[in-house]
Amino acid sequence: MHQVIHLEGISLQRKNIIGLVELTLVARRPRLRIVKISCKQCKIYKVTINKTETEFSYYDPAIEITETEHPNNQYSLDQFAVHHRNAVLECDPDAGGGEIVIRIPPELSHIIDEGRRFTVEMEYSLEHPQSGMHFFVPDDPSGQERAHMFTTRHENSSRLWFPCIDSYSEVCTWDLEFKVEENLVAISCGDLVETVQDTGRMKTYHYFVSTPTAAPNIGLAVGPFEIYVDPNMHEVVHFCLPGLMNLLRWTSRFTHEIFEYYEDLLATRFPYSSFKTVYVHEASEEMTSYSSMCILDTNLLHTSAIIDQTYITRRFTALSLAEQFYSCYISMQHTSDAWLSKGISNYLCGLYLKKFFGNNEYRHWIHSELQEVIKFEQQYGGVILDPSLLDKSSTSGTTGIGNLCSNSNNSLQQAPRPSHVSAEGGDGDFYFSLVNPQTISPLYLKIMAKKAHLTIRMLEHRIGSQLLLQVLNKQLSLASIYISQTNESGNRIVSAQPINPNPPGTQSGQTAPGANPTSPMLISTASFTRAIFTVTGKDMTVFMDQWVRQGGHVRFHMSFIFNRKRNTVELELKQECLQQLGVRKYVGPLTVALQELDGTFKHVLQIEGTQAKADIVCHSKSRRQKKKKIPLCTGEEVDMDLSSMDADSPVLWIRLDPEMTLIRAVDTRQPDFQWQYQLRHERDVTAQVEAIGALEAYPNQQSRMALTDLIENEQAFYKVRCEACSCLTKIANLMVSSWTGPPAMLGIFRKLFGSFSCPQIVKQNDFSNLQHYFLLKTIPVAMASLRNVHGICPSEVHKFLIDLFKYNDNSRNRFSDNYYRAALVASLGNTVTPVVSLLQPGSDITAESLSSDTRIIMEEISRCLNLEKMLQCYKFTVTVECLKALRKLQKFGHLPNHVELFKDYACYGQFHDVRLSALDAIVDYTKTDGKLEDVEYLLDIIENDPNPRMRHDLSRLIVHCLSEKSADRRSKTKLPFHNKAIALRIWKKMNYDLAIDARLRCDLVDLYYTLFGTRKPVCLLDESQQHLADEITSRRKSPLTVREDVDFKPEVVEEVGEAELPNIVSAGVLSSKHESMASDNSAELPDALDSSLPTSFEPEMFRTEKEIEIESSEREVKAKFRSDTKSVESKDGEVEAGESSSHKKHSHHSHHHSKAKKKKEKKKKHKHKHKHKHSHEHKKKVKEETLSSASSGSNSPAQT
Amino acid sequence: MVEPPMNTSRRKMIQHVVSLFAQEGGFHVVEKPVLETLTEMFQATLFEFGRSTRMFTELAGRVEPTVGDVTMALIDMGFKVDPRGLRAYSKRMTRPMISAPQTLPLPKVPTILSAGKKRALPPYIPDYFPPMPDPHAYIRTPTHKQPITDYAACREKTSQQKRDLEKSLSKFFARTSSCYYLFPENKSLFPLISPKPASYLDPLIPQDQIFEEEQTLAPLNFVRKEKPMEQVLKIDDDEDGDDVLATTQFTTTTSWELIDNPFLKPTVPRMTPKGQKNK
Repeated sequence: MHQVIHLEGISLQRKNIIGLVELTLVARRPRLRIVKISCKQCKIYKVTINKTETEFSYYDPAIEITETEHPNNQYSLDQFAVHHRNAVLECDPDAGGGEIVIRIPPELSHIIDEGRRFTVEMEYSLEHPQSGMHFFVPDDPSGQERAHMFTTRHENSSRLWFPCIDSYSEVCTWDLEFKVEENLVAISCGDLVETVQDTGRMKTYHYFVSTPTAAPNIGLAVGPFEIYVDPNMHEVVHFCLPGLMNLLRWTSRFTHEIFEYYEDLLATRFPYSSFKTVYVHEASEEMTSYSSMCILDTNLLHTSAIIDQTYITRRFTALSLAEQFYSCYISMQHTSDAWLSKGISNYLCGLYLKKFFGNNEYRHWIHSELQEVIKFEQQYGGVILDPSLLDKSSTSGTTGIGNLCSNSNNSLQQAPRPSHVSAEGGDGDFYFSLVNPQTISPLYLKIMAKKAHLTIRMLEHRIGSQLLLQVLNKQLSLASIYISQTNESGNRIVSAQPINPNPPGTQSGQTAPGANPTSPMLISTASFTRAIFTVTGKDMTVFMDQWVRQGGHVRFHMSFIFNRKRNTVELELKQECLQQLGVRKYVGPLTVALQELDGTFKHVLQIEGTQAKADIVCHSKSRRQKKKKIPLCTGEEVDMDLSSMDADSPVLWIRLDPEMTLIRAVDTRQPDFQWQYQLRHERDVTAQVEAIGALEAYPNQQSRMALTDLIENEQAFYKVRCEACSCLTKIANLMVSSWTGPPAMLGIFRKLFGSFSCPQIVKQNDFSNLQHYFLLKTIPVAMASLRNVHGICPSEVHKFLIDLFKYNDNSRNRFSDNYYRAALVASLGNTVTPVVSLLQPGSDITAESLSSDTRIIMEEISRCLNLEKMLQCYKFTVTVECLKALRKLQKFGHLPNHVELFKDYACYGQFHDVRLSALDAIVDYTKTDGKLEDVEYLLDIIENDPNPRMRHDLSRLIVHCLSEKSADRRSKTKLPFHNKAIALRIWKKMNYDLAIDARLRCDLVDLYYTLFGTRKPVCLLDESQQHLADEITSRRKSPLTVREDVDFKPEVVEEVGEAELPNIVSAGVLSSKHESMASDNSAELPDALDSSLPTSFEPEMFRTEKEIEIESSEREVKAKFRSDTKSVESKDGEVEAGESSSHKKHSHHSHHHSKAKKKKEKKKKHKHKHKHKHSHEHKKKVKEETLSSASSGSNSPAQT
Repeated sequence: MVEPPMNTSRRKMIQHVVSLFAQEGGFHVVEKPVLETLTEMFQATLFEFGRSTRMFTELAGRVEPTVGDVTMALIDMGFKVDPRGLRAYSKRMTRPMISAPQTLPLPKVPTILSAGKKRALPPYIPDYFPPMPDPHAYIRTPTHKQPITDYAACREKTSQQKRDLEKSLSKFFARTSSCYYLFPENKSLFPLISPKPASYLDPLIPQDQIFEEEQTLAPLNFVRKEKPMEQVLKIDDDEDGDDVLATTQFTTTTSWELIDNPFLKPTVPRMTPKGQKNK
């Protein structure tokens, strides 16, 4: 109902707070005996209910996720996910859970029974918080005055700093009081009522939040902030740390415009009477929204001289304001409705950006978000926006042949998949539970926000943008009416409904959604659908089922033939790869835009099956009306040179779903000249981007011309031009033998940027033309990737780049050139190619052995890097790029491979971006040449770094780095990460130590998954355990190692078929599926179909590695003998040793075993999948042992 | 004995003559002190001869000596003058020859910097007057070299200067602070200065370039509000006026007032009213 937070002592130096909270509650049902309150990491001293001291107990099941039972299957993520989910759900405030259980004393029970209010008062303290609240206290004495603290949030985690009902659905009013030292400012939600002078050089800030707000939306920041009242809107106050006032003024100068825009757009007043933005150092995220307050990273601030940061900062500011409407003001019913608040606020932000940055930028952004979502889904599985129904869906239907990645979750009880989609591969099963955001991978959450945005945008297309805004407006106005009514009723404390935080006896999952269905302050999928229906009369339930409650995206393959006789385009649409991860079937309308000689014609096709054919009659008779302008979709008419097109066909190009009304991947097959026409003449930036992507496959003179013309075209959107640059690089590299003229883009660059009298010298910088600025940054980077016939960077380009360095003159520029200089350093890095060493391998690289090119490069890099120590540029962009280039030089053998260089930059105290860049280099080093100490070093940072953001970012970095394709063929299992100590360490950390920091825990789960898969890591298996064949086969399925044994796969399938009849069928299914999936990315390696299995994290992994793979397979075969002998001993002679074919049988057997076991466990689910996987795993084990025996001669894989 | 260098050559010449006479007289060896003495005597004789010649010349009221003067001087010195014998002596066969002493080339008189063309004398000045001096002596002429106007060369030069500056600066810095050496055996090659910790201000307030912030409304302190004079009379929309602590500074056109915002208000004393304005 109402909550009071009174923080008595906030000590920055001691990093602690002492406080008192007072919750006013009303029991929702009589006979309530216990109250559960969410609270973590705080020390509770005393709890009273209506001034009567009461007993309480504290239990947080998330402290230790899995207990030490199950000695066999411990350390597997399968198990972990289940336990993690249960632990979180047990305390899920949405379901009435909580870590603190308070018994209501019998003498007070009459109050509860009468349904009267009662007050729970708790005294507590918090010391050295690990998460939820961050104290930034510099060690040096001069830094003491910069010390400040602020709250951080990962989903609903306010319980980390005060006891509350930590649910988005429990909204109430708040009284907030913070007693701080006199020189500090305390900023929190709501209106500052007064500031009271206290004794002892203290003062108290008193805030009152009159708008009902959920606990997770309460934030606080305390520090020596400078105050800047927005000159255009006096209700808005900006805060920054001392010394940044100028930047703050510049950064915030447009904030009032965003306010006005949103208020206009939604036809609603800003919901709060004040708004505060606080820029803090070491923020855990760029931006965290609290009601009427926003905590931003101080690194978003910039001056007028900085260009690139402006775009980023503005987006965050726009988003932060949008989240005030949808996230803070309109809260969500349940965490599964988070997609709505994320989606709508992103949508609003998008509309603002569209107005502010233009339609091209907006469409380009949408397109890139779409690609990101698709990429993620294909890698990890479909993103389900609203997982609330997952619990309820039956688990029976989950066959999921394609979901090889998914065996993890079969053991999860919820089997997250609605039955009606079970036949498709649309939804991924994840190695974490989707039911609560506390267990979801942060990457998934990020992608989910993007997908939610795309989905809201789809809704816009379905019901019209005006109507959608009306829906939003209605929600907002209902909420404000609701608030004013409750205020009028004389009840200052808004009581929505008697909300009981803890319905006794009910457990998780039952009461959660719809506990408070009528409150207009809350939004849920159901209520949103209802609202759309009332406003527009359209029923969106099907849409919600299709896109919201179900994951995955659609994937079309389009090809066509022009039929000259009938003057029709015979279009063929296929939805292949339905089994592939993240892809699902689509049924419904689909727009096809046909650009003909007489104009653009849109046709809406109804897609009903996986295969659809349509004959579209062309409007234009095949051309021959020469010299006629051709109308485009925008209505413009343009002249085109039609000489290169097919003389019979009037079709210029075809586009599928041009407005991006679906979340789809489109694979359009059309001849290269059509792509070129599309690139040259289509006005839509997304079409141009797609054309650029497609033209990479057509390295010829026409493509070159089309790209060159586009880059030079001042009318074109700058991002498209930049993308065309990198595409032209690729084409030039492919055409290297037939390339004529100077290196690609050199002419363009000189034309655009060469000075008037001597084009070979670049002009003095003038960035007032932003299009040119971005091109100026992009072209050198693209050119640096050019290679001549020897595969090295042409000397002409080399000289060109060095000249750019030499003649860079920013003295007359109004803007800083730091990003440009960074781009130049990056391009120097791009020129580096693996060294052709004349030295003995293994001999040290000495100063004398440096090549002249390397010397020149090093000269520049060391100059730039050293200069940054004295005259640093904005955000050390140059240093960041220098470190990357240095790592590249090391990696390619030009410099001694020393990691210590980067460790200087990676330590705490350096700027965040610099640290990340250095850590990136260290991770890269560790991946190829690292030793155990290096991994330990990285884990030390993850575990102990003072900046929580860094812990998170580094784990993400490692995950990212390890899941991308590795260039060298060093076995994945030989990575220094694959170590018993490391596995145990990560496990211990995520299992026991991270109850406080849910985000980092999920990060580490990601890391653990990337390293070891969902099973028990191989390196943790004892030797004694290894004799169990089924253990061996089922022990691990790591996405990293799954690929090693591509060449064996077909044989395995065969063997399986011989041995067991039912498996023949599955083998057939398997292989046919593989064919279809392999079609898009594995054409070069037809005998390795299985390697295209969607389990992989590296879709293009084997494209260039055929020989190596064969080689390694040979090694495997040899090593096999050894492993086989071992297994023979352990398996009672089931397998015959000594023959190279024996390992196949062996694998079959082992698979057989595990399958039988699995069958029992899982009731015949995922038959094929298991079979397949086990064979995989078996191979892996083989590989494992190969390597271990090769390296150490020991037969224990744990030693690898 | 320190002799002025001018005399050494003359003395050498005299010595040479003396030794030739001695040789002619039949001597083969001469001791150095003897030669010195003879030289001294010869020089003294010559000197006396010259001096008395001049005396006689001047006595006769002339400036240039005649043969008579020379003869008189010789007679005065006690020589018996026999012109015929003298002539014969001078034309004797055994007459030793002294090569003409080598003369140093005269130091070149530095030519006066001539800038521009000397003008001819104007017609009203007679031609026996000295010629006109260089024009720069009496009119202003550009003395510096014509600057390079070639764009490329300019750019080359500025960039070179800048780079040299940067290079020497970083070299200096590398000497004075700790470095990471890529090649420990060759410390002069690419020393990379170790990074120092950055405060939150460093990345945000770059030092590489100075941009003058446009000082629009520079006196607009963050807590003040611009209020043009003519609008003072009107009631401003969100100015209550009563509880505003107005620190009005009347400039010519504007006045500045504290914005009405709770964060800018003074703290309220807890019990006794003795509020002090917080910043």
